[in-house]
Amino acid sequence: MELTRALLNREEILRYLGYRGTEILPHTEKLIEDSMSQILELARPAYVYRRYSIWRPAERTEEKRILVKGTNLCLTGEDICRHLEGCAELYLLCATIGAFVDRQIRLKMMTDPAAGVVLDSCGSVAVEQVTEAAEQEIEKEVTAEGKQITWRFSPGYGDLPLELQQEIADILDLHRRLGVSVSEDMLLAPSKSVTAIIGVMDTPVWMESEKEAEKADREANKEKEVDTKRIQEKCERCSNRERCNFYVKGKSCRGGR
Amino acid sequence: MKQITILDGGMGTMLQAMGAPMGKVPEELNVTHPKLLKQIHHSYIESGADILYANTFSANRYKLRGSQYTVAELVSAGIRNAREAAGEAAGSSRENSFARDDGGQQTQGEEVAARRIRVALDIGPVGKLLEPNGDLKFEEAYEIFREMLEAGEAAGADLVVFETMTDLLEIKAAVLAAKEHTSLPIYATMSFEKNGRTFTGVTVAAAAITLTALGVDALGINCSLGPAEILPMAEEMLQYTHLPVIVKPNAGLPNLMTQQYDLVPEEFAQAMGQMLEKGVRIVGGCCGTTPEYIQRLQEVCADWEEKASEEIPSARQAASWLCSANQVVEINGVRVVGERINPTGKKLFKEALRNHNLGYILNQALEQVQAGAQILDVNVGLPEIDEKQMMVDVIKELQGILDVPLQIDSTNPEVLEAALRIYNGKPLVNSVNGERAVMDRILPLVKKYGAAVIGLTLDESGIPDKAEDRVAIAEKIVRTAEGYGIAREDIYIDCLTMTASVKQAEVAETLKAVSLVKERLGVKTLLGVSNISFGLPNRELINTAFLTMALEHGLDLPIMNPNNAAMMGAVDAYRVLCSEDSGAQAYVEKYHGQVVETKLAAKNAGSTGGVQKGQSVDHMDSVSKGQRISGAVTDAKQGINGSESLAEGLRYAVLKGIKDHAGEDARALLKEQEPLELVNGILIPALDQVGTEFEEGRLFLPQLLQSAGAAQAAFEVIKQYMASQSKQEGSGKAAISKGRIILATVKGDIHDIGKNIVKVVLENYGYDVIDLGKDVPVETVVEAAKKTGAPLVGLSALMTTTVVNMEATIQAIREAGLECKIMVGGAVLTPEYAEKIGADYYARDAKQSADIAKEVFGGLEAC
Repeated sequence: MELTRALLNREEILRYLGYRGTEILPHTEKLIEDSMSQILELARPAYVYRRYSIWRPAERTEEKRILVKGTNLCLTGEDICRHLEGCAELYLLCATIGAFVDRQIRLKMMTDPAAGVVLDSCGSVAVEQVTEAAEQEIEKEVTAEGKQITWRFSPGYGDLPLELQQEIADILDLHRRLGVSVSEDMLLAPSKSVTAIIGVMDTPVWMESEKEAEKADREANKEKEVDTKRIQEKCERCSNRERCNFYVKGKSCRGGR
Repeated sequence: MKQITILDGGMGTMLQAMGAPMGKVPEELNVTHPKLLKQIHHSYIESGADILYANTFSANRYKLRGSQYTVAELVSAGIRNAREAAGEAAGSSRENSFARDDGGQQTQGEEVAARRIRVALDIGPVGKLLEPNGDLKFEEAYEIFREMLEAGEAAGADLVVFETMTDLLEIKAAVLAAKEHTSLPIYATMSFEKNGRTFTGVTVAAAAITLTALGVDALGINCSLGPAEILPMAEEMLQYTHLPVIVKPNAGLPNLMTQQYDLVPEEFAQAMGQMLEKGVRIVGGCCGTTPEYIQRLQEVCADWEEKASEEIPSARQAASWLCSANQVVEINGVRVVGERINPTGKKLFKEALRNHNLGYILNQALEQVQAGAQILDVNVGLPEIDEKQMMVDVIKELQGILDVPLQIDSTNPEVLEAALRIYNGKPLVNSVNGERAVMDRILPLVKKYGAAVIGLTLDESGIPDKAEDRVAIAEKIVRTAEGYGIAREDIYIDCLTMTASVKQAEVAETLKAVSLVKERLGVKTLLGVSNISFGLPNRELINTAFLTMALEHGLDLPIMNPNNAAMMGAVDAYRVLCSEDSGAQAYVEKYHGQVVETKLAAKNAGSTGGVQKGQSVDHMDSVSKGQRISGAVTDAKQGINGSESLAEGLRYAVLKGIKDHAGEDARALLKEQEPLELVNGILIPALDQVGTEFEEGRLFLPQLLQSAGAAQAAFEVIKQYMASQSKQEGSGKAAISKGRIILATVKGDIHDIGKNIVKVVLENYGYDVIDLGKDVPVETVVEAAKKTGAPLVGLSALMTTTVVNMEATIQAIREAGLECKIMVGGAVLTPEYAEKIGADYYARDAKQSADIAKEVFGGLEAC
């Protein structure tokens, strides 16, 4: 894919920077414009994904898990299991804008930190767009079969262990195919990279009445206001908040909200 | 004699095709399915491969975590399978030849016996990115490779192949490990993307130059692309090396729909034929290729061998190259070497070294590059610091952000070696001289690590007065270096600039020596230009004149201050006048319509003359930077300036984050106000207001940092002023610092953006920040706290996983009985958690860290 100016959502960039609607002086405006141009110049957008069947082994213990066929990958935790309800398949996905952006961010953080943080935010928005493009491609593939995809879910969301980052990197052969690797602390390098899991729902009946379901969801949550509050608090404390696909849309990977 | 060596084809492709159970570690098959592996090797032998790549590509410690086998087990089994396949092929062919009737056709088996099949230990990337892209350390990568190499050699490999590499520093670690622990011949290939660079940005030329200099036996390109895409890259590579070039492409590009590669064996072999025409001598196939591809390739090679009667000499011309991983500089004209990374005579630079302030040094580097330096000299020698560690740290940081090649400058061989080891590319070593002992100590390092070297024309009896005598020393150096295997094009001679005020007559001798060295020895030359004017007024005039004279005498590399517009101007003009700048294009581009700037510069120099005699270059940067500000802001600022005082102007500049005006205003204000008045009366209150507005959400992060940057510009001016004052008055240390604060991102964590923001803000409140960097070991923090006695230590951690190390660091500081206060911050921390792990303060953001510092330092403020 190719990143374009139009894809770099300025509002998003400002949101990452904690902007709350005050006046932006021309030289700050210019900083943002310049950073966007730099990202377009330096980004090397690329992504890979593969589709897998999944199965849920009969449980002997309380712990829920989902196994991904043909791999050693085992998805654990309440949240991913709920997220993949009604799915018989999933996609593993990785998107990146490459290492050159990181180099420039390092340079700017040393020499002009204001430009550094803006560039960093632009990079986050850029990789989000690349991920989005991959997701759209997947969606097209899946819709053609009369199925639906779930939202993206990434390691570190909710109670899905961040350590799965490494497993996914191995399975997708990310180091060779995209130049992406996983650090000791389970973060991706280059930093502007994303791994994600997208479920394929072959029970579109549920989706047809998506709005109703959401409405029901909301009502259910109203009854459990305490619960919702607890979840919200968790989100506020979550280190993934800023790049969370759910949080941005006012939801939570722990359900509800 | 056979000119072409044929490599085998894809291994993974064959394993998949044969239905091998592909677990997490394909090398486990070496033990579990040896027959299958041997069968694959056999089929490649039969199709014509001269070298078999053993199935050991990813059998490294990192990839094998969780495997029941050790590195040694899988590597030896892999080599053994290939060895046995080769042995069986040779054995069966011998039996065949005994059974054969006299006069019969040569069988395939016989042909195999005639060629000796070699087995290569195949080593791919570790699978984790090296610093600074990732968190794998150079030394760790080295150890991982060493383990594989020792196992491979012990198991009987004939050579080692490093392939599919994308980081030049990683492959350098591998090559060094091979050279230091085995005697295996080394083939080294890297994988490039369509844009001609690897994932980490390495160019084909930089790879070729660096690997050639490191002394591998063959080098080239594999994987990633098909032959058509690789062809132009192979051509380029051939221009930068005299060594045999390897090409092992994929079977074309993968078809996105079918995931199959798009070339059939015939097409692949035809495309490879063009490689042979261009001069590639070692060929094979990577992903998607099978024995059939190699069979066709072998046929094309045999045809080619028949036609090509004799060896074609290499097309490559000897040339002088230096490079980083991303940029090659050919020395075929004047190239400016920036001299500013050097503490000699620079108070602020020395202070930066003592405080491990890498940011300051990087800024010096960046400024020079922006001013036009093409190579940077790096000297960080200071008696009271660990020069070796500092040199390594600075080089790592520099090559992590800048592309220019570096010149490693130290008199200490240990420092040179440590720097050469981790340098990513081909550097220039500064320097050796004609002393036998010095040459014997340093030249082997230059050769081993693939560098170029500077030779100073002095020896045991000092610097000769006469040009002829200096040339004699140069000749001795060149001869000795060549004796160590260093090519003449990698030797640069420094004929030594003498100070005109002391040795006036010898200025001409230096220039004469430059001409003679070039003429008689055919090597490149280099001079430290600025020495010429030492002790004279208006040094710029003398420097510029001498520079021009030296260039005309054949100087290639002037070591100088590129921030000096007059000297850079002399270089630019010289390039026009000697036709190096064809059509004066570069000159016109740079100077067209810039009359205004020249005037400004002159005015600026005048206004600061009283402050810094002879060092006015330090102020030059603010002029050129001034042009970056957008018109609207300038107008607004000028409006204020017209009606309000300078003080108001400075306050406004900080509030609005207008960096360039802040420096200028501070400079002007210093004529009327005491530095501390300026700091406490204007800068700090303005910063406080910015902080409050940020807290209230009226400013957002970039604005906070722009304000901090503006305040910093003012602080720099004040610091310089105070440094020059104390120099003049002979008084002690300038008393602007409010105290020392140590900052570190804890061990295991490489995410330091937050810490860097805090650093900027604290510095601008006037604190001396000792930045220990990221991934800082517990002991380093404790040591620094002990050594500096800093009353406040700030720790940051981004990850839940590394907060543990934060706790350990706090504990260690407490156990060491240090009095200092500790503040912590980071995305996952909360005030409660901070308290739980024993911190004194939790800082939500940079502003709060400044508040904490104010509380801790309280009345301690210096005056």
